Amino acid sequence: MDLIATANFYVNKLVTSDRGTSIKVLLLDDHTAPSISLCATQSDLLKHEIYLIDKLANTSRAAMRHLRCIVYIKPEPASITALLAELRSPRYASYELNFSNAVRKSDLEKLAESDDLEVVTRVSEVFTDYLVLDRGLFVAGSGTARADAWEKPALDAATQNLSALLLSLKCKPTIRYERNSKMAAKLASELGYAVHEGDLSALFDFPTRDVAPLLLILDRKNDPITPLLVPWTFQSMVHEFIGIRNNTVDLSRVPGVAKDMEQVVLNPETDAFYREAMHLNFGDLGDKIKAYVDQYKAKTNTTKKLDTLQDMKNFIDEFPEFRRLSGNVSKHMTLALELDRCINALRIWEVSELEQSLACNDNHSVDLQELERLVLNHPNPQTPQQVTQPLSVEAKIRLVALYALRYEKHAGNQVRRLEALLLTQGVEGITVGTIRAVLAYAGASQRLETTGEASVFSKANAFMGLGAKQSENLYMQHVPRVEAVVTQAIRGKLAVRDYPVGKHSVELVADRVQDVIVYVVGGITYEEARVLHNLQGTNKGVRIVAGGNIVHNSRTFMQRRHRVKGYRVTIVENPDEKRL
Amino acid sequence: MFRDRTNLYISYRRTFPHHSKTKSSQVDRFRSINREEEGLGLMNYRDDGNDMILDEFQSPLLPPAFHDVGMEIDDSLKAIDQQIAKLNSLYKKNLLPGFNDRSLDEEEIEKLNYMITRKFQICYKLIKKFDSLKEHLTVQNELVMLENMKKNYAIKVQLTTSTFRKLQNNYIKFLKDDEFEEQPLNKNSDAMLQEEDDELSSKTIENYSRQALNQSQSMMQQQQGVSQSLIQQREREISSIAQGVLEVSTIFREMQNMVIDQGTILDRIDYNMANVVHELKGADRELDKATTYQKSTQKCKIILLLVLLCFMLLMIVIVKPKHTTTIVEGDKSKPHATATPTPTEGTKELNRIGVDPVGQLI
Repeated sequence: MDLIATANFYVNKLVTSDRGTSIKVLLLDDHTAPSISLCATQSDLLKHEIYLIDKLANTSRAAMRHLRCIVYIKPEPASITALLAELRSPRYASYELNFSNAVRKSDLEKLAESDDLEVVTRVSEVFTDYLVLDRGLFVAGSGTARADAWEKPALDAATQNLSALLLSLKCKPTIRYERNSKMAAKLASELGYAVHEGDLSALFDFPTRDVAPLLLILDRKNDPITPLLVPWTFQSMVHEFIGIRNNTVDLSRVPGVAKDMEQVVLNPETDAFYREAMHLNFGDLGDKIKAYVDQYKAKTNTTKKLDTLQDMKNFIDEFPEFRRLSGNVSKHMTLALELDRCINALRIWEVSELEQSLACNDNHSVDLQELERLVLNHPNPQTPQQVTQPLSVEAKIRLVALYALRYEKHAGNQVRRLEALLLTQGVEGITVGTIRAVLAYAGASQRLETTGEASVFSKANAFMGLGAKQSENLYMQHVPRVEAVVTQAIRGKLAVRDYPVGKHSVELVADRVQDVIVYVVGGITYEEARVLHNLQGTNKGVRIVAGGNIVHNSRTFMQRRHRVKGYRVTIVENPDEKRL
Repeated sequence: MFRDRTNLYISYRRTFPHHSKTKSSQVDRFRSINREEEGLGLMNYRDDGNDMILDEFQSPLLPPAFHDVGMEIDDSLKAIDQQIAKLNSLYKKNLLPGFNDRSLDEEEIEKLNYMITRKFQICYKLIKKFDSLKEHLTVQNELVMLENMKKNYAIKVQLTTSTFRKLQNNYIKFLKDDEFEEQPLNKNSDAMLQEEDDELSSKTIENYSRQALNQSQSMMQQQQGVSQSLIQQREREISSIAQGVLEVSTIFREMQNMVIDQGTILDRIDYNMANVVHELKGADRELDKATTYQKSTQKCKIILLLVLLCFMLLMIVIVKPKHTTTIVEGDKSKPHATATPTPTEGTKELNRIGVDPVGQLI
């Protein structure tokens, strides 16, 4: 259940030709280019004598008959059409076709028909139709236009990607989903059909294991809190404040960044330091980076006694060997400095304290007072003389949304008044409407309230003996709900009433589960991936792989809510909500 | 999980009648060959067993020249690998204590060292050759391929140089240790054969060889008077090996500039692909710019001409009064001012007028 190992196996399959070595060209499409970029590097491909990499759709490629061609595409209509055209007038000597998912027989027939010159030498299916971000984190499926139901293309994409995932991991799982989510239920039934009755069902004929793996389909709306909170671990913070896209970070908008640091890769597979540091909290990260810099210094100092001309010459000579190390050091320094800048500029210390208090404590009047103070940009009563810059609109909306979710059923709920306050601050009605969109998406009536389970708020820590390792850290009190759910699942205590079993999976597990695949409809967060990673560490023999259709941070989560269902709040005495 | 669909595909391909089409296109593709080699054209029928031969026929375009350079480097590297293996076994043999005469082996070692260093230099020159080949290429794709090939061979050469350097340095270390400290042999030979991948070690190794070189040189100077031929011999050996290591290190460092930094954005596949597209677009844009520049230079030329004209006319205006004065003074030098140019004559004429006594014009 190591996604990276699986991906590497496929890449190897892809690049090793049965027909001896010779220089090759690799053709990709829009789906496979990102997926191969995540698990292989340019130099990996060069090692296999792939000297040219191009898009299949690029029609201006020059004919080079001395090259062998490896085609690696997703079997979807646009790519198939491009491949048909390519086969009719081949530019290269021979073609090895690799599809990232099951290819339809009709498509195969069409390809065979176009292949007049018999240039195709191999056709194979490698099931890589999803993005691997880390050993235990994947992205599958596309976004949907609505938050409560699937459209056909989105459902198809999710089903295809997940069945490719299951095939690549060689598991025929028991599928369970959250009772209150129509989308999860629909996806579960589609997947069940694909695994047990569809065209691919023959492929799912894996030897039965002692304990059947579990595919758990969750819905984002049952935990709207995690994406709204400011995270405090390295990877999550980078995603929250700068943004990680397919393991690359765009730093070009960071003030004063060096030219070669404008775009950096954060791949735990190629960057050992990142692998160690990605789950550390900000304080520990500082220590870790300091140690790293010291180590770097020590390495340079062993050769850098610049006393004589000869020493200086030696230093210059040896410089290239340090370049890699120094590149990595400066990359992580740049990131950490930028995070530090964001924390101070956005007043994250204050904001996060209130957020955690909202999420974990039950103290309405104090929370409301503090919230009002922040919304109105009043100075901190403890340090009144300190001049602070006003809080960003985004943070304010996020705080009020958290408040609205937390005290939705509270008698003294003052969301309306807070909304009015925001409007008087000059925040646009449409932006204020995000709060209502979040409430409509994941309000109390929408969430799954289960009997044995603590709510997404408050006592999450104390749940099922997890309280023992309750974080001392004031800023990391909140533990994502997924931890509790998956812990229950591992112990075989997940209530069937709340988490029904998909209708195709016959055998019902009562025992403990070893392999768990978690899929969150509506997007996962790095924070949840971290929690599940730790859970895997503490439970021997348990393997957990998690994913969603997107990796959320607070910004993308709120934008999404806003886009799915927009509200505009107007400055009327009794503001009526108005659908856009 | 992995599914091979080749057989299904081939069975589909067999069921479709390709003949009518096939023949025409095949004739197209093989026309050039047929013309060149009449007899071979007969073999153009399809047979699965003949795929290899057919593939060759289907490649009327020979691989570009840089491909040959790559193969040459491959050959040298293979030879180097063999020689390094041989050297390694010789070293191992030499490490064992014994009373046999080793001068033959030592000679052999020296020879191998020399050859390997030479080969590395050849590789380096060949890689440099990629750059010169670049100028002859026009097709964008080929340029990209050449670039990638260069990088790949740089990595390969770098890898081989580093194994060679490690081997050499461990041997020097052993020779030194043996001399001064008499360390247990087994430990040393183990250390020598160990594959050290640490960057730190390669760095210290280089330092070490530099030290060794300096030391042995100074020692040789000191000991010139004394007839300790054995020690001298050994020192010379160390010095020559260290020399070789340093030479190879230079090549290693040069290669460093060519390889991609692994783990950086430059090593991302999608980034590189996007960049190629970007560069293509950039080239397009620059071409457009160039055309506009071209156009504007024409304008510039005309403007320049006009400005020159104005300037000359101005000169005439300035120069004119001077001449009138000379004319007034030297009234006797009048006779040769016979030419009375018409205003319609060109700039040359005007020029002459400037020189001539212009009194006539007034």
